[in-house]
Amino acid sequence: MSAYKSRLKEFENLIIEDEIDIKKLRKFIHSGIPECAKYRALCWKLLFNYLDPKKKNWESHLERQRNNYNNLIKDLVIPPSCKNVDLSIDHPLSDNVDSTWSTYFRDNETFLLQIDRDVRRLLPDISFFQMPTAYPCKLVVDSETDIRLHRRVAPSVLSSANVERKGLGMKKINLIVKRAPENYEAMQKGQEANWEVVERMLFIYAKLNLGQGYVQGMNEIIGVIYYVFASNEDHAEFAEADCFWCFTNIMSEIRDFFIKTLDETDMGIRGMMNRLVRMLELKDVHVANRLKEQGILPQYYAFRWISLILSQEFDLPDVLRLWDSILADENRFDYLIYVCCAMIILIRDQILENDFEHNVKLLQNFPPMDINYVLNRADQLAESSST
Amino acid sequence: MLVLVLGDLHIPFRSSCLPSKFKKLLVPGRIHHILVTGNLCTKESYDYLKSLAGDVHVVKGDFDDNLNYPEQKVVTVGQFRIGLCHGHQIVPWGNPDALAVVQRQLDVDILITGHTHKFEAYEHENKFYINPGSATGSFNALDNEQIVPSFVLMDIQATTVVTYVYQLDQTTQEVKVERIEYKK
Repeated sequence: MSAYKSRLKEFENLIIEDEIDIKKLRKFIHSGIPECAKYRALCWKLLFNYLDPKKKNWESHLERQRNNYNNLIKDLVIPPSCKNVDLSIDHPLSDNVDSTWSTYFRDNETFLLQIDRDVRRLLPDISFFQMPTAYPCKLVVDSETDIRLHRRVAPSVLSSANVERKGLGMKKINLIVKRAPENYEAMQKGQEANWEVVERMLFIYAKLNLGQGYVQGMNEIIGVIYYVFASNEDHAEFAEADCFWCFTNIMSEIRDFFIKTLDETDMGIRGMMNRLVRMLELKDVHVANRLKEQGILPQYYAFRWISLILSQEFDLPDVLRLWDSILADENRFDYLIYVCCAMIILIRDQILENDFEHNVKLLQNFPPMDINYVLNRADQLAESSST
Repeated sequence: MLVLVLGDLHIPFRSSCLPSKFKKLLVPGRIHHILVTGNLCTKESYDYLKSLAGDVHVVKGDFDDNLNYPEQKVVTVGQFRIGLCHGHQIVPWGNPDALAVVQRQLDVDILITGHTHKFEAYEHENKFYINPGSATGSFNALDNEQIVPSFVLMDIQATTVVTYVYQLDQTTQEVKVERIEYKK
């Protein structure tokens, strides 16, 4: 049997159990999930702690979570159009904190605008996000009024026509609207693009976590998760709800990276970058010194590597393989540091030779290479650390 | 969708500026479209309105400096056709039957006119007529009475238009808000 088939068999044996052995599964996934349209989403849901190892709990748990998500959409996304309101405080121009309109506009200003801009440039290399989703949210696409989120912030122009009178004769009223087709255009009624779904998930997350809000970069992380769940064979219908909850789970771990005030502390991104530098000094003191002499601080390259879990440094298929290993890690982000260290060590020849400018450019646009090299080197580093 | 409707400012000829209470309410970013009934009169007022919202539609009033505005305009928002005209052309001024004639000519669901400087919002034969009055409270040529500064904000949904009317009570200097609904 070929290597792929034997791995597939091994994997299927692992998950066929009624209570899945998570430790064994993690070890197996560390070497990658076999490529096939159904298993990655399932594994990631297990690794995000969304699904319990006990299979019998799955159905009730999933149903509950999916219903919760639908309720969230109803509560948070449908705009205010209430009937019996106290007009002295609740009218559209009101500044009053209690007014529903005021909250509506505040949301738009604070995070919806930024979310809208970011989702429209999500992974532009693949067509996935610009395509219509097979399972649009019925509440939004079938509603009579246009309640899509991006309508709240997208600048639009009313279609108007001047009335021309020619003497005593005919009146001409021509309503003409001509627009060039744009990328990431919204779909017409009844359909929804994938980027609109991502926008909704980010909006609901930001509304539920007002302290965190929305920070640029969260869109990349949720984009990868949503891509995996929506391209899955089974359960693609609930990809949005599942993705939202898994995103919430992972954000609870990396939330500290996105909070500005924690940036300088050990918990924040600075702490992680320091760990990377210390590990580099341990493993390859020459490169570490060279980077220090040239003044290349980890902020210049590792910031993006760590806070976005390397989603921007490689092509999407490689990112998926990388995330398999990183998520399978028992101590969540230890392996990530090993991978970052391996990345630097693999290009050590170029770093040792070149000047500041070249090195910064190199580190910020990591040269394309086989992801397995990186993973193998990271494994070596991890093993040599544990011995 | 929020659309602001106002007009008859007559700045600087009959009034110096918008009432400060109105200026406080009108902040950029909330409203995306403005329909002006006319008589701004100068470019400064137009620029101010442009700073509030990117999409401003103006029709020509009898005192406007800019001669290039059209006399009448039809704007389509969702299912509603909205007609815009200053009103000095429609004689007798403010007469419901005369306005109905214009509504039929333009074939609109909502007709917005100005010129009388008096707020009106009524439904006639299942069509809606709005007169936002004068946003600055400038005087009217024929009447002797005190003009109440007012403007209108329309919230246009699929089949309903909710109209919020903002009027400045001269004695107490407080802004009063009223709400009117029109279903197609």
